[in-house]
Amino acid sequence: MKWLSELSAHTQIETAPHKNAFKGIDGTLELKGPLAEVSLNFSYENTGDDDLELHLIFPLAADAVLLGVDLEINDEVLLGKILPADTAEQDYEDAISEGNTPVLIERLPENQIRMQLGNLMPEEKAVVTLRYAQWVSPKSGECKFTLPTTIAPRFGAQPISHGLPQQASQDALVAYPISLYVKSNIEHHRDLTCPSGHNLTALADPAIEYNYRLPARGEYCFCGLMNRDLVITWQSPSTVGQALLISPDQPSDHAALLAQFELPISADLRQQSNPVTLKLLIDCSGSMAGDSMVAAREGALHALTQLRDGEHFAVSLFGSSVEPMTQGLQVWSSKNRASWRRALANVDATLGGTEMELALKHCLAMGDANLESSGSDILLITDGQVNHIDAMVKKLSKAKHRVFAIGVGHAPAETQLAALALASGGECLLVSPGEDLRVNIERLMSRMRAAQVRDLQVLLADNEAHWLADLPQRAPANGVFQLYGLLNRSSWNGQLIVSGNIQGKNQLWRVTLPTQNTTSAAASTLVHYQRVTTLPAKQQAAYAQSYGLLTKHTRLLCVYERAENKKAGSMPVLDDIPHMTHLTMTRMRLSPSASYDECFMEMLDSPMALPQYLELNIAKRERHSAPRGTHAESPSALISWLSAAPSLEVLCERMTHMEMEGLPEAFRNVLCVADDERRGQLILAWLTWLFDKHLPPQFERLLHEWESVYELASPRRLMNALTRLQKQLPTGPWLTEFNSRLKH
Amino acid sequence: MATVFSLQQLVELTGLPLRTIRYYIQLGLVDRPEGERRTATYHQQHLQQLLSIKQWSDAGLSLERIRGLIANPQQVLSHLPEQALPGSIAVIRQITLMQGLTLNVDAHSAQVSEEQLQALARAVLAAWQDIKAP
Repeated sequence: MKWLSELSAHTQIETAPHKNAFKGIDGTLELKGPLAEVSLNFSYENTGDDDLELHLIFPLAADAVLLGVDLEINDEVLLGKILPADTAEQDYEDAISEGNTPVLIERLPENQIRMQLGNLMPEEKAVVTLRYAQWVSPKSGECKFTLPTTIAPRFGAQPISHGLPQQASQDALVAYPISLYVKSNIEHHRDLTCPSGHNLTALADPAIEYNYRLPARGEYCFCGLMNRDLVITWQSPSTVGQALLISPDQPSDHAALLAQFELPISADLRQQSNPVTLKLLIDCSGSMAGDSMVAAREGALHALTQLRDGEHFAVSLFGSSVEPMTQGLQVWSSKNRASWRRALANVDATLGGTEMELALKHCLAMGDANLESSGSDILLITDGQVNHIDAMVKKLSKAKHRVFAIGVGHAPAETQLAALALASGGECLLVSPGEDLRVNIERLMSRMRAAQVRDLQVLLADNEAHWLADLPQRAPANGVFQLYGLLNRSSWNGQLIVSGNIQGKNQLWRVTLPTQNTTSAAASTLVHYQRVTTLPAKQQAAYAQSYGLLTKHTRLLCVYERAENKKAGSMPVLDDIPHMTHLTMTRMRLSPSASYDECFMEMLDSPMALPQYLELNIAKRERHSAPRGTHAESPSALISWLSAAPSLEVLCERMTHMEMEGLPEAFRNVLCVADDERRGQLILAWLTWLFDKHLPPQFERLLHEWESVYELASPRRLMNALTRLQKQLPTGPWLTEFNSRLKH
Repeated sequence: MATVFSLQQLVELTGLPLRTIRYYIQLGLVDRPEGERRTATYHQQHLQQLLSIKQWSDAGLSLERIRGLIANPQQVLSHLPEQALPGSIAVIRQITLMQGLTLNVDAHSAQVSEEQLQALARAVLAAWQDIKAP
């Protein structure tokens, strides 16, 4: 997409030159209701003298399922195919030794993938496209899509590997760009927010004339760096229950089922709020330094303030060791809030490594003989960057504690935390630094207090299904449940029969779901992927191959066969691609944690960064001030309105209008709080942005240098200033347009 | 015994996967072969290098330490320092002992416990007091 590369150039993403062949990612994300489909193009270029073999470990979201891989090289596009692991690896090695160019994709633990591209010859470029899908189910009233772009360092003993590394490496000196086109057809798509602080820009109506191509509404673009997860959230739809009945392309009696539903429990039961015993566990390891630790302190205090007088709680910090802040369980009183605020203010990321197993054991062992502490809940606030969680998962599945995990930071280890929560009947939420952590804490606390349902089982109305996935054995009764199944088309009548036990009573519910028929290959793959993991090990490989699934038994492979006289020569040199870390965020033009002044000053050099600046600051202001008036218009809408001004005078009038009259307070604050110089700079930046590409570069330079423009720019004064400026410039094609814009 | 091997023969003799052998060659732990592509040949030295790496790896050494051992065969294993590469990241605890005097510890690399760290900090302070005392 040409316009996307133009946008990338204008956002002036700073990427330092680095030696490896990876050049970044561009791609598309389609949000189709609860189904998200992603296509990522990994660009490589060999600028050296040797044949290269590229090695990259890349993260996928916890429940993402790979659909396929393509290789584009030398104007050819080759589709990958699923093969048994041994066969694929041998074919890959054969291709290398024959001088051809293969791509091999392997699934690693924690839903990471290993990508190997062999024999990329000097001056060659290649693009490897990964396609994957995931089901975005509402959690606590909100839908959230996460696209991980980096893997943070893990602490703890590394698993010993005799061969290729099993974990990604990091390099603080590299920077890779990522750009995405996002298309959303979900209900209320205008309410998409991007709490990870990325510049997700809504693309406006095509009726308005711009430099850039303008797709229809519901479309966004984003350009950034691969240094943190991209997070997009929206409110969950009013009707949660729905089913997808997925048929294969060829006529068949068989179908796959994807459904999500809520239990039709009574209002009293849904709103039940039971007492809790809370064991708060705060990660204070070194990796939590910065934004994560700020979030952890805030979250911990807010969790405590959600307790009711008389409930029991404990607080422990952990890193390389566990440091209890309370002597076992204590009784909470709201009078203690101030002292806990002071105590938590001193908590910092100073405890070294991340011995999470030790910390969880400490919580499991803690208790009071007089208390029903066997029913306690652990609220774990961590970035999850730890190895060796399998043993913990096993322990938790047997213990009577539930783990509710809040993953903080720019790239929390979602798969690990989700595994811990799932094993214990708890829940996991990821909260990026731009999100309101307190709201998410309240959601989890509400889950803890909710009535619990146990021993859930589900049947189809006529009791005929080839397979239905198990539901969680214990869960909050007011949650949203996902169901996967394989059945005969004729046996689906839109109804499920669900049995479970709430508060000692066995109950039966009949759930009716509106059903959409589809032949979506992505949806079908999601279902089959759930199925394959339930099969005996011996059957998994064949099943995975039949349905094109990337599992530990299979690989994705495609091979570019070169002409005999263009084969690669000797063994390629290894190019192991390290990841960026969020430590490099300070090198971005605008960091979500940058101060107001820093953002404003950066704006002068990066006019396109202004929308991002507004997004960041408005988000900050909304979080820290009581809501006043209405915030009816999003920053994106404001930008569109301003930039749609048909003339310079109308633009200035609109800016003045915004300054004087009832517009969202946040934007008004931007203008009012700024002093005269900065107000002029703001207007100047807007003008520069608007006139970008219409005017020669020297005009921009003069605009910046002309001090008088930095005064308070009333419409008349601004017009006069620009008219005087115009006389100093050489003539050119732009003059006609500029004159036309100056006309009253 | 054959003294010229194919890559496949090295796989059979060492028990190492083919990709792993190529990986060791790419890392420079094993010499590159003679010849190209399918005609590449390996010799006794390659076999010996692979068997040594396998032995050290089975003993728990990381590939970085093995690289150091190959570069400095006279070094005692326990004294091999890990090389810090440009761009590498570590978590460092900075403990202020007094104005102008801090202790920086990479606890993971140094393998020190909390108790040892506290003892070290106290010992450094005590040593400083002795030096300062008239």
